[in-house]
Amino acid sequence: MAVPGRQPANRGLVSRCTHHHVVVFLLTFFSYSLLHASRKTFSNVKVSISSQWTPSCLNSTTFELQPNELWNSNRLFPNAEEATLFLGTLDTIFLFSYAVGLFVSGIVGDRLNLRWVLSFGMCSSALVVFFFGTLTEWLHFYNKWFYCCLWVVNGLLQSTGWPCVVAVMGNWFGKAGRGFVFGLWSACASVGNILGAFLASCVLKYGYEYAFLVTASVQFAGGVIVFCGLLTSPKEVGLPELGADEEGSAEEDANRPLMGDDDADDDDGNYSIQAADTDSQPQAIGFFQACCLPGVVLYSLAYACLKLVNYSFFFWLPFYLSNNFGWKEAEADQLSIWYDVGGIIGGTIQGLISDVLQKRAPVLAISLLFAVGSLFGYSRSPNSKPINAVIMAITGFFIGGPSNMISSAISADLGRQDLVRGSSEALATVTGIVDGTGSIGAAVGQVRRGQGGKGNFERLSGSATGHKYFHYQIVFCTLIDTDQNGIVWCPSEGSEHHLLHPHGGNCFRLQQGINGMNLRDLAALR
Amino acid sequence: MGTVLSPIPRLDLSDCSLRTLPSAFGEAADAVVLDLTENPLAALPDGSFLGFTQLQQLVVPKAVQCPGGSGAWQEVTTYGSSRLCQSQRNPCNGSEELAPLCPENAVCAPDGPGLSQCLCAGSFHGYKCLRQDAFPVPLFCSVLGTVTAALSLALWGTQRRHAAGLRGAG
Repeated sequence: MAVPGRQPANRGLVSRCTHHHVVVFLLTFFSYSLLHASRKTFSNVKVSISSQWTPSCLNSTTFELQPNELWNSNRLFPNAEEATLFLGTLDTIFLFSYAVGLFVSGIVGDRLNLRWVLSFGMCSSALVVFFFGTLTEWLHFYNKWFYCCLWVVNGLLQSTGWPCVVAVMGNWFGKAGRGFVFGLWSACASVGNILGAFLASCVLKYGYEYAFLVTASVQFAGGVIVFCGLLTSPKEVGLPELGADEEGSAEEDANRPLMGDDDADDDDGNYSIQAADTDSQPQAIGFFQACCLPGVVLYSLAYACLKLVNYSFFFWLPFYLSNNFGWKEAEADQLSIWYDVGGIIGGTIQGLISDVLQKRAPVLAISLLFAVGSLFGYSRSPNSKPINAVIMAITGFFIGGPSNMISSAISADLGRQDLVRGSSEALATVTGIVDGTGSIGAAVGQVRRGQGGKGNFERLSGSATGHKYFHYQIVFCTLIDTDQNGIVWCPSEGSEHHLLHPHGGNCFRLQQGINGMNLRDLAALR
Repeated sequence: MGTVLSPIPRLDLSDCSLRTLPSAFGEAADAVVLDLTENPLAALPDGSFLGFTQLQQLVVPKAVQCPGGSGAWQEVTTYGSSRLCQSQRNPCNGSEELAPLCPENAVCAPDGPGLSQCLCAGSFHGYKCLRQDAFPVPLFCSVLGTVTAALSLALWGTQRRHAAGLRGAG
């Protein structure tokens, strides 16, 4: 029954893909990549920063390295462990302020020009990163509180990125084919990670401040380019707005969110086509109105849970690999890229399937069901790199894929559903709510992990039970996700540790390692 | 003593009634020959001779050991009430346990009798010798500036030139 509506819509997508669409796709893709790259830079230079902030401590006290000003003059932290803890704290601070910022900047993005907000966010966050990493080093001004304040501001400014780029993409790419386009497009975070790692590793030998300088400058340049080149909506160049020109049933479909479980709505034609409202200046939707839109709260909660799982997996993977299989850290880092690859492919293919089916929720549910199986499979992966990489890619396919889909395509669906046609500026607000809730989920997960055994880094190597248990926990979380088909209350992890696992402590200590810190630091401490 | 002493190859502090070394003693670090005889010195604290890399002949009262121990000198002789410490050994050479293992990117260098320091090796510099070479600022700025300007102009021309500000601020 989905067929009659789909055909014209798909043809419409292909025929109406102008060079503007391509440029918008690339600009939004790379602007978010650059924002993500600067986050990745921070985690990749942590070793250098913590050694810049601490005096050298050779194991023996008999030799104090001379000359003193060369080896021991910086005493922001007495040793590398405390510096690493502080860097982990900065990560948590960032996640929280990022989450809060997402709610705010979505609202701001819908009320002001998306292009201005996006390029302001990119340029100002580039400046903050420059202050944080480069200027303080040039001036030799090291102060914990100053760093914390800068990172709070950076989280707020960085959060302008995601709601704005999703909103712009949602304006340009209609529901037909949205799953596919957004699936492909949500590779931007992974590309940003690779870009950040590459930039950082290229210039790190000149000093960590140059890693920050380079990413900040490139991000600033990106902000300028976005300001000069981004068209936030087809309206700006006189192209018809999405849905306004599409005829008949295609129009209905293009503005209907693909999220209902019941599929009775494909044939009924009683949705009104509100072509008139494009003439008037659209009114932005309020925060609480946006929350009340059908599906927003549910998908937000589902995403909170999924992002927690996804982030845990993401942070913990190289550490697990090098620990459990004894593989070299660089190899483990490279191997963990397969998780990303799986996520990109998964997001794209599942988006495509959901486009064809014109439904997203069943695809999500089935994918998460498979995710449980793949996680169990992964926890029993043999000590073989190719096999492990394949299973990892499969896991990424089933976990990263849905995660990407909720944060991009479904957010765009929700923000452009029929109920907001009259006040069409809801996209950024809705995206902000979904991603903000997700980030809070991820941040709370970090904090809960952080509560356990502080300073127990030496035990971070953990035990096999710890690793395995961690798997089960993810599996459990995913199971709930699946059972309720996107209607989720994320289980509170901390209590489960104690309830379900007598040796929960191991797991806590293990997860302390995932507490937003670069795993390389931790490996160095072992 | 706030005055900066000019480099002194020889310094005769004999018979100055020194019980301890003067506070500005470190400023004489360039001395090649140093005479401390006839002083009621008790002992020379560790590190008094930090930076005395040029010192080749040191004469101290017999009651006082050569700084850094006799192992830090090629030759230690006593005559009369004096002790002559001659020719510093380089603590970085050989398998002396005195030589510290310098961290990455740093090499050991002598730093006075029996003392050594770690200095940045080759092109390394900065705190803890973490940095290498100089970042090519002009090259980076010009490349980034050119690319940004070119892309901005191209995109402005193709995308935004005819854009109407329908979604204007406010």
